[in-house]
Amino acid sequence: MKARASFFGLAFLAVLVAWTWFAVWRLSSANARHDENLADLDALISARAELEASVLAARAGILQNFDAINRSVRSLRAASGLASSLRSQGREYAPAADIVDHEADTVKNEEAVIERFKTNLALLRLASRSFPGAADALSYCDDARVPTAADAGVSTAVPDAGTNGAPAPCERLARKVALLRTDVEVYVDSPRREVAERSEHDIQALEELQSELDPARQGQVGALLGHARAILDHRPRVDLIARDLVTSTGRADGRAAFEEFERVARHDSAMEAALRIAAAELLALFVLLLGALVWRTRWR
Amino acid sequence: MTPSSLAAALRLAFVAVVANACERPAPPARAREDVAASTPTPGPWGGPTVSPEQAVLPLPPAPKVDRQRAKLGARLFSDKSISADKSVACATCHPLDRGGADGLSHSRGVGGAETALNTPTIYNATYNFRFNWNGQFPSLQAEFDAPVTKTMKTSWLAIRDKLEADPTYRAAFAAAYPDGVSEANVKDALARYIDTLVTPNAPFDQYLNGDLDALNVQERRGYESFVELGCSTCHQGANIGGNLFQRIGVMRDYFRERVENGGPQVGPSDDGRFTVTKNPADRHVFRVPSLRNVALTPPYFHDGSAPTLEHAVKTMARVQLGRTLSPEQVDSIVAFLETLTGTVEPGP
Repeated sequence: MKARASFFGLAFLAVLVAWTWFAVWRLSSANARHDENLADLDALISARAELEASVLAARAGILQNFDAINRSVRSLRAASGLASSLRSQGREYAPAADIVDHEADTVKNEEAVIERFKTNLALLRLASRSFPGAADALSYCDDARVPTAADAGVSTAVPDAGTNGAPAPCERLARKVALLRTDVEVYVDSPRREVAERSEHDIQALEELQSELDPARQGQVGALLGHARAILDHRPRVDLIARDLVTSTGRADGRAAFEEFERVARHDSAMEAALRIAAAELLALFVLLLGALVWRTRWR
Repeated sequence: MTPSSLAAALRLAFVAVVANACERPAPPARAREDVAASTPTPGPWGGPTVSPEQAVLPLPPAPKVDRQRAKLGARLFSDKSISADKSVACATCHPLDRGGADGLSHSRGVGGAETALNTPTIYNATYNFRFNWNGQFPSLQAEFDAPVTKTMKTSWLAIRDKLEADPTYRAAFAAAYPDGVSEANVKDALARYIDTLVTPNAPFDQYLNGDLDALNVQERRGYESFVELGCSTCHQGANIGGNLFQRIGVMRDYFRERVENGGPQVGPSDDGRFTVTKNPADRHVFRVPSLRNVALTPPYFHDGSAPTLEHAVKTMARVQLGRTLSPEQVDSIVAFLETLTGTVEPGP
């Protein structure tokens, strides 16, 4: 009777050991993906950090190409796939998956903003590069050599250059160009509203003068004004977009998802460890009981 | 075995089990390409180094791809039988012996129907950040839908059926993909093949990598003009373009000039990115094309209206930069652009 009870006890213990090991096996195979998921989440955080650094470097003029920005965007696009992967691992991973999903939405919305940033920054760079040359070309003109619109027969309303005490068109042009140049350069350095308004005023003054000039100079002034407007227009826009991108919730989302995932993963790891200990203890108990039973049967 | 040694063995087993369970995962390694991107590349000739921050970068070598899949993609790429009337393959509009573009202002698909826009080169397309002139597609796989339905006048279902019916394709797909023929696998095979269609080691790449003799004086002057004039603000990065959107006609109205010069009236195909975003600010905004192998791929622009490089350079200078270039400047920039013709990598 006692032997039968011992036998059933041992069998029960064996089943318990097997069940515990099975639970350990299931948990450990799920936990094996943790490294991969953590690496993916870490890559997401790195991509976000790289995007922010690239945007700032591009805005500062250190980064002259947009390949790094595009690389980051491509990496961030992986967020939606990662969210699905996390969600497939169980209910407890849903909060982390939700945060990653939110980041995926942020990235989706930001892509259009990033495109606007690149386009506007390219235009700002182009204008900033061309503006000084265009201003230079108009700053050193000679009324004696440059025909006015009146000479070219475009308009008869233009006063003769320097005949009635008024400055010749070229001289006035050079002065107005110098004013515009100063104001635009101050604006580039420090984009304040009053400087922008002053620059707009300079632009209007040049537009008024434009009709008095010969067609070639009109074209040059047109180009100069185009560059000036581009600087006034794109400078604040680019800064605003850059600020929005670097203060985006993306990085915080990435970190929050990482921490949430790590919390759940740590819980699962602890559970796996506890089950391993329990399994080992049960196994030990099984071996001891088996040993005792064998010893008792042999020496009785 | 004595009870004490059994206990010692069990204790050891406990420690091993617990240690195994509590092992912390190693921090994930940073992707190699990220490290490469942030490290200046020394020139192999000991010349100047390439900074990853500069506007124009040398083309990296082709990405590593699964050769079996790329080989399958190569076969699909030139297979006319997948189009509706078996007359058009991907290679029809992207002939590889002509720089990856067919030389027509508008390509012809099934039934001779013209494409709305000029066909860009397929070479180095893998380095583009978005695909199609209006940047509608974020990946090559997504882009394939357009030529399949519009140019080949077929569907993925029909293509899958045709490939399933061909035992050689069936076997090739079974060998390359666990799930055999499927739309996703056809797209993947084509994308893997296109990944191999890169043209590194152009004379300009050699120059950037430190071989100062790779460009002659005129070509170097052309490069200087290219940068000084501001062309490189848009045509930049490793692909010298293909990585941002820009309006055509920044300084002058390109479309008015086109009409004045006897070109076609402005139509929906000129809307550019507007067709995707419906944002009026995106009208006439296009993906900046790559200038790699540009000398091999006339005519130019989204409408194929510029028959020569000289024409294209003059027009771009006028409408994008507000400049009229001297003949010497045009010649030197064209000479520089001709140095962007790279070496075709051997097939998969």
